Amino acid sequence: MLEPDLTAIWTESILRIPPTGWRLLADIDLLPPAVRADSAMWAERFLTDAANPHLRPHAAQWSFVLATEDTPDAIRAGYRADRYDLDTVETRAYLLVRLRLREFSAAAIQEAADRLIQPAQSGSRWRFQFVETPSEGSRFSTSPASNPLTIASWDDLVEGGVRNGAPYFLRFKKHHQRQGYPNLGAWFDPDFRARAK
Amino acid sequence: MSRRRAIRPVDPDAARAADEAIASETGGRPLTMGDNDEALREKWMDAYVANGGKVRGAKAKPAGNKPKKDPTNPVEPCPKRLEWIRLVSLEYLSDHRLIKDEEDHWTNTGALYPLPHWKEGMDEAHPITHNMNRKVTLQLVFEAGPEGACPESGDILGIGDKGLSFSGEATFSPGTLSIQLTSKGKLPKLVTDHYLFIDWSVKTPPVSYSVTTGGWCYLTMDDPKVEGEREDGVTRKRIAKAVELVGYAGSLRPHTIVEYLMEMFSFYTLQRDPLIPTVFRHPSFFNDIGGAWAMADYSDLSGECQAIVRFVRGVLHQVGCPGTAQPVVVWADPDIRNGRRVLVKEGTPITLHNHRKTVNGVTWYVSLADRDPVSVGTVFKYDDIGMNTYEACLRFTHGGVTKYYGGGADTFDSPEEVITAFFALVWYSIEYVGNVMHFKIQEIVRRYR
Repeated sequence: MLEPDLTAIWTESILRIPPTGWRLLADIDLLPPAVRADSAMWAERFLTDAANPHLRPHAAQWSFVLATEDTPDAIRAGYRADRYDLDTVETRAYLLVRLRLREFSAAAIQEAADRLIQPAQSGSRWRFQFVETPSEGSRFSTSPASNPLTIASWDDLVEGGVRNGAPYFLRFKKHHQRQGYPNLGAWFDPDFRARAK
Repeated sequence: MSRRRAIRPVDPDAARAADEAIASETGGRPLTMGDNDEALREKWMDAYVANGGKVRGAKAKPAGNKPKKDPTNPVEPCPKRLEWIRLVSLEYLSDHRLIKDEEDHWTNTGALYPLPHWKEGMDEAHPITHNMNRKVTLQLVFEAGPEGACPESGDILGIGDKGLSFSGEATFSPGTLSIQLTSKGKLPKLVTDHYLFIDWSVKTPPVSYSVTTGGWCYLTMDDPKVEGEREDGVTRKRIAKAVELVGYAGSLRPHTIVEYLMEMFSFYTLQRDPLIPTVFRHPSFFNDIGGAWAMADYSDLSGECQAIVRFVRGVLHQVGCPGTAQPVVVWADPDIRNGRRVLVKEGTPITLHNHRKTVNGVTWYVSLADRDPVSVGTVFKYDDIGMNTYEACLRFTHGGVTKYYGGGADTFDSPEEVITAFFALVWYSIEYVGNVMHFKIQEIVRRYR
């Protein structure tokens, strides 16, 4: 492999988390403040207001999971946004938006992106390049020549695909000044981790 | 004594008519040339002329020997004198006319304070901003009365503190008088909030009047700069904070001021702090409620480099600090003299972001390492080493001197010094194990320290 395929690595790691692994939070305030602040910051950048669960935190069902050797510290929000039932899975390095769509044609996926994913600039839109008709296991991107390791900044790329029957969008927490992505097993602080065990 | 003389021969009919006109007062006796008969002689002459008699010379002054008063002649005693004078308004003419009345929020909102700055009845004048070490020019509007009173000349005097004074002369008539004055003495040579009070007095007999005007004056180095940046625009809240901070710098030297402001932030951060209200969009401070100005309230929590630069530039612009402030990035490129040449560009351009190459099937990336890369083959976890694409700075030039002030870092005299914030320019490859990204050093292109 020339370079790690982070999109594949990360989407697969999320799928390895068993459904029973997620632990419900009675309230978003129970998240560590730094994690909640980080999540809110990136939600502003990644999602439209309609899709940002932090603008209506009590309308979402929040849960978390502690990292294992090959799965990350993560939080999940399940909610309805615009006309979509969706959940977001977020780690220290990325945000995954998964949609429950009955049909996921390229047009339907593009429309969902227009409604849910914050464009890089006001008035612009993300245009996905679909190599094939979306189907289970397929992937698509706004910039196929790029990948999470080569982009300059978080507003350079949105990737997506279909996995387990659900279309997803993937956004990367990439800072312009720094290269690489942080340790996904070190998002929650030790105190929270100890209380959660 | 009359200066009129009947032209000879005397007209007998006119003379007879004149005699009859004053007969009731003379009893028929002849008039004498004495002072007692002067008034009667004038009456006789009036009657003589009225009945066709010819005379030469001017009519004498009215009886009683008192000169008539000319009410337009101020030197002459006036039958109705001024009884009151009062100052009704004051307007500063040498202020910047930029300050808006937003006092609660960091936004560039509010309205310009209305004119005049002070009106009769106000406890305090509207605030102004003014260049330090300059004379003050203002316009006073007085009213005087009562109606019909004679004009009076008088002196106007205004005494401020620290040698600031105003003086002038004016003629006060019933109604309104407007006068422009320029101070003797200048405002202090300080960037500060200065309470500008002036004790006014007007003395013009018989009126003596005094009043004190006062209000806040924010002293700046020069005209505030309004260049369209998010942090530009003078409001009361912004200028008050700006003069406070620049005052703390304890110097009027622009580089010293910049250094002080940058040192308010001992680090930069890319992580949002939960203690700062979400609306401010920490750490980028890209918001519509004043941009980076909120950093004044959260300087201990800092922000991104670009936010620090925007805040400092905003303060400099408020006080009209001379010099040019520009955010720049500094980096080196392995393809340009093998990293020996240090590169500088304004803004946040693409630098090392697109650099990669494949060596023996492995992708290599390049970056500026913020810790010692040690040697080829050394492996670091992401959280143990910062792989950077540039160092962000505020480049400030004044007086022929350019310095680079690092966001959360030191002050540098040149880009070649800035690059020493990094240990080295390196090629590295990425290995991903479990949840952790590892950087393996493949080549140390150049060491900077």
